[in-house]
Amino acid sequence: MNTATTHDAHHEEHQGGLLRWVFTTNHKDIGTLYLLFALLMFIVGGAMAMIIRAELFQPGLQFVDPQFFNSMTTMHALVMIFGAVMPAFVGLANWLIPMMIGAPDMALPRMNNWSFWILPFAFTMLLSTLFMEGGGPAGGWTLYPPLVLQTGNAFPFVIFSIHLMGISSIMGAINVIVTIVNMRAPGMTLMKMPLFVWTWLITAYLLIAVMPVLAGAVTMLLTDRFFDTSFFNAAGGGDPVMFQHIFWFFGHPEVYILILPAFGIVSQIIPTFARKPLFGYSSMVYATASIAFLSFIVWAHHMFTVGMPLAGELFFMYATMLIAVPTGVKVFNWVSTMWKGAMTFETPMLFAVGFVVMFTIGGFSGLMLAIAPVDFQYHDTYFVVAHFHYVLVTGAVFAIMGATYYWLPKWTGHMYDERLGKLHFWLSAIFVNILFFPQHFLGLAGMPRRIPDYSIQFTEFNQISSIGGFAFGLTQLLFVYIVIKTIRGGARATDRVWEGAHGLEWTLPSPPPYHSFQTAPEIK
Amino acid sequence: MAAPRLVEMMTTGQDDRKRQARWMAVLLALVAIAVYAGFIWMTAKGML
Repeated sequence: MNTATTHDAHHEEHQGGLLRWVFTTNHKDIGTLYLLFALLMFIVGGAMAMIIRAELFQPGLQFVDPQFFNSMTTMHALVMIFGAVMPAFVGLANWLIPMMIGAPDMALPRMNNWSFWILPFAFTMLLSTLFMEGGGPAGGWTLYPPLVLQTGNAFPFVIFSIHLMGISSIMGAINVIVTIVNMRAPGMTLMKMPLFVWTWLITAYLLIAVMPVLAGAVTMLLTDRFFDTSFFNAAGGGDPVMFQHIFWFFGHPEVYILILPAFGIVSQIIPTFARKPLFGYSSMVYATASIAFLSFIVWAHHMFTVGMPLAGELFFMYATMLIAVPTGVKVFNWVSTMWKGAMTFETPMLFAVGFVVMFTIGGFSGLMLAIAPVDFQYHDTYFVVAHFHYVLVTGAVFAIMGATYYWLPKWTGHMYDERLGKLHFWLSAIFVNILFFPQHFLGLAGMPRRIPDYSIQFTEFNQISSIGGFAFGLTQLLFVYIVIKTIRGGARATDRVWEGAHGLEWTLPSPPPYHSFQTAPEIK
Repeated sequence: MAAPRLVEMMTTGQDDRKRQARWMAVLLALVAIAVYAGFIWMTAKGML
């Protein structure tokens, strides 16, 4: 046997059992790990949401004490953002980017393994803080000082787990950029890349630019608490508002990190089921880049109420409104793609169309919040909660679910149960609106967020919202069932899976071979 | 386990590309570290 054949044989080998998953450097294995981890965290974070909605079913204190309630809102956010949505997108990136650009794997496979395996440790540590003296972090996911400095023994563990999440994200982002820049098949020019790849490339740059800022902010919190520095301590010459500026310099681009890959997913799904090429491909790319740029100059719209010069308020207000322009371009392009298309409504398309409609609702309430003078009324109310849940649940989470239905037959080689998929969509779409729409009214009527008790006039809308919440939560168990059922078996999926699907990933068999493209495909 | 070898195969005759990938990774990591240090330094100096 000569060296070359030894190598070839070696390429298809992988360890069996548990060690396969621990030591894997394969982009599909790591993608699967990320997606399963995200699903687990989605359930954990969802359980916390159920506790929140149960407590808010009636005014007064019912089930949990206020400290624990605040821990739940804080942990729900941290788990859903860093544990569910971000890892789900990284999982999709791992599975899809090499297949979409015609590469055999990610450019830095060993680092890829590290990026994932840091996460279970980070989240075990974060969740373990709930059992520590003083309870888990309860100052909100924004970790504002001086409140957050009152956290008990959990504090350094929370900071360390955030550092770990940040390191994982940065390594993942580096991998995505290096893969896209270096590993495209010959002929795959930048402007021929699928939109999912484009949105992820831009997202990865955002991650590298802002995750270190968060790390810096929490490091300064740590030294303020344990090493007598006064970065954010007014008594020592520091400024607590400074933390808010630094946090939101990370936090606002973070919001786009959570939504840009969703834009990419929807831009893949809609053309397939409209059986038309994406309308305005290049304007989609430029709009994504514009949104990414603008995300760096709008952070203070989260803090209109802390007080700032009029010029500052005007700048951040107008800059924020400007984001509606490229976002509007995207919505226009999705609608134009569907215009006069030969549309069918399989489950992925339902989620994509649901995304376009409901994400836009979240976008409009965002525009309302951008108006500085009215933000004084909306700030810190349930209106804000309604707004960002429309953007993140019917936006990001719906896109992730649409993506799962769209590519699951490719990943597993089995078709999912279309009837159950549609049922899952319709139940989700109905209950998510029952859950979040009344929260707009609660906010406009003045109900504050992050509070376990409320005045009795808010009771009815809270009860409607809680019922929607429980039903939405139960509906997601159906999603888990559908996914497991599809992994275990089902009708064989064809290579192309969807009649109108285009792109390199559909030229591979379903399921694809362990290493995607052993020889680079030719792109015309 | 096999993937790094595959990348090598994929980039056979393109050693520059492989080197470029590693340099890019190092460079991007340095950018991240610089941003981290920069923000702490600017906050400490009261520049922000």
